[in-house]
Amino acid sequence: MMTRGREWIAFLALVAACGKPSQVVLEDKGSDTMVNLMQRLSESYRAVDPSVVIAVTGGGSGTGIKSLIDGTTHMANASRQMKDEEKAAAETNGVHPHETVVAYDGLAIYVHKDNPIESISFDDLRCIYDSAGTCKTWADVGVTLDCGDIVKLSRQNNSGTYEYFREEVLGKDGKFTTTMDQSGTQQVVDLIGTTKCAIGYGGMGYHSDAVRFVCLSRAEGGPCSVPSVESVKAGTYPFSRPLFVYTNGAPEGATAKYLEWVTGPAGQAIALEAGFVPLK
Amino acid sequence: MGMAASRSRVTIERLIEAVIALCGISAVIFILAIFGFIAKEGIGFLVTHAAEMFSSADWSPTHSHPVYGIVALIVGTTWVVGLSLLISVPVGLAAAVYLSEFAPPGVREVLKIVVELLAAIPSVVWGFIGVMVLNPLLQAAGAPIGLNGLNGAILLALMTLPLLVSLGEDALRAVPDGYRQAAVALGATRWEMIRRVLLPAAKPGLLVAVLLGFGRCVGETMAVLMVTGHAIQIPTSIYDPVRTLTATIAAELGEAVRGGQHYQSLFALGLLLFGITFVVNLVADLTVRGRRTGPVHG
Repeated sequence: MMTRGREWIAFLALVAACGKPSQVVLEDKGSDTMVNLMQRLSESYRAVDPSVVIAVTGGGSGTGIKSLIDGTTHMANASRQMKDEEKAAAETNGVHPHETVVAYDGLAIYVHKDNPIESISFDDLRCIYDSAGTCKTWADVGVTLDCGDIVKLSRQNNSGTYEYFREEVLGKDGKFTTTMDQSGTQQVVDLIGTTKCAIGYGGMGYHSDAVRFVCLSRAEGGPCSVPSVESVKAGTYPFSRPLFVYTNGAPEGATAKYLEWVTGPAGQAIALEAGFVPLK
Repeated sequence: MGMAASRSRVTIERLIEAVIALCGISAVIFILAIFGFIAKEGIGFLVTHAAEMFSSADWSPTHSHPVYGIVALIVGTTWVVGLSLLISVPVGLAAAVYLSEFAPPGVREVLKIVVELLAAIPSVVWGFIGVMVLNPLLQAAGAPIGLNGLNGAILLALMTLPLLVSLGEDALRAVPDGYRQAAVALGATRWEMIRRVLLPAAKPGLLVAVLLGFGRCVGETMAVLMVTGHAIQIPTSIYDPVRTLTATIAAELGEAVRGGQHYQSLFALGLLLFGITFVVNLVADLTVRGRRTGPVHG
């Protein structure tokens, strides 16, 4: 499969090369949280270097990393760090993962715009999302809302956002209670926008008028913070993470040039525009 | 020269015959190949994990201590399919009776075409309707969230209606007119004639329609993935979100590490689905055959 994937990429590159002389196609696959950002970056990069085509696809951080291990992508986008098992699998396949941080992201807690909740703590989140948690209704977290049970939204299990949330909130071996698992942060936010009783989590870049951020505190009763570029940069927002691009070995050639541009001023300006937090 | 030409013509003829014969049995080859492929990846897992799979409702394949319980997924599938048949069977059979017994020929032709058009709508478009139209409607009706088992059941009912109506109508029209005339001659009203004569006579055909409708529902993926809410739980209310076997495979196969346990477990689910639809189709087929070759009733 590994070699077939390589052949396929080679074939695509060949097709592209036939159309326009000396064009390079770079595959970039993974995190759904990052897919809009990477899409924007790749489109803008066309103006910088028209000879490089970057094909961006989503599927989840796990999917991207798996493709890198299989040798079917040049770059893997991930909203979480690679796991030890994944690194081991990569080495077995002769792939040496190299990590580049391209931006930071605040992981926001979203509710419907009419939800009066003022702040939420990690304990509250655990009470709502943990399989052993006891919070079933909004009253259980101290919110008066004309609702039945809390509609708990989550992400599908190959999502980096899902893994990150699970590890940070529920712990390494933590288990989610029954949730509705969506295949992208956009779906989570859209669904919250039309569902008064819902709660969900996802990158802060997906904010819309139909939803609002909940002020998040690390400890019950402690100071809370709303995700923003400033609060993530200052470290006052308690739930932020780096976003990674993984390559096989230190990036070379066209990939190195591209990632240099992404982490440089032009790329970072686009990251800010897309709702993410720039490196500097 | 004439000899040579006719000889080469015979050769070409033979060749064409061979190609056509190959095409004829290609379906069998494909079915066997597909079954072999799924079985190869999934059967080992199904055998070694059967106890856990069929006893637990906890499906956490990516957890550090993975659990592969599929009870909630099987219940989810049965729930949505059962609800949808509760809607589609009465409506579909009533429509079939109307088309075959009451509708004037012109109306019947138009209705048949429209019903068959329903079947031509791609399932992802149905999913769209579920998300955009049914979701807010169900919420207005009191559901906490419109993406739930009922939403999926309504969509599946609409998707299976064409099948039920067409096959049901065929079955009813296959009942000889003599039956109808005899019933009416004995003084039966139209309703008595339909209930006592027509429906019993067409029963095997109607059963096949329901069975094929069931098979269609069980295998449907895209629409249920989009609208059932994708929550692993055993539902207690028609407004509860559920997750089906098909949706689980569709959502997770892309990421599962090739050859790993999670990957194999999804193939085991596929094998299970394949088994269910195979049995249903086989029963439907045997029912039809029994009807065709069996003794003439009445």
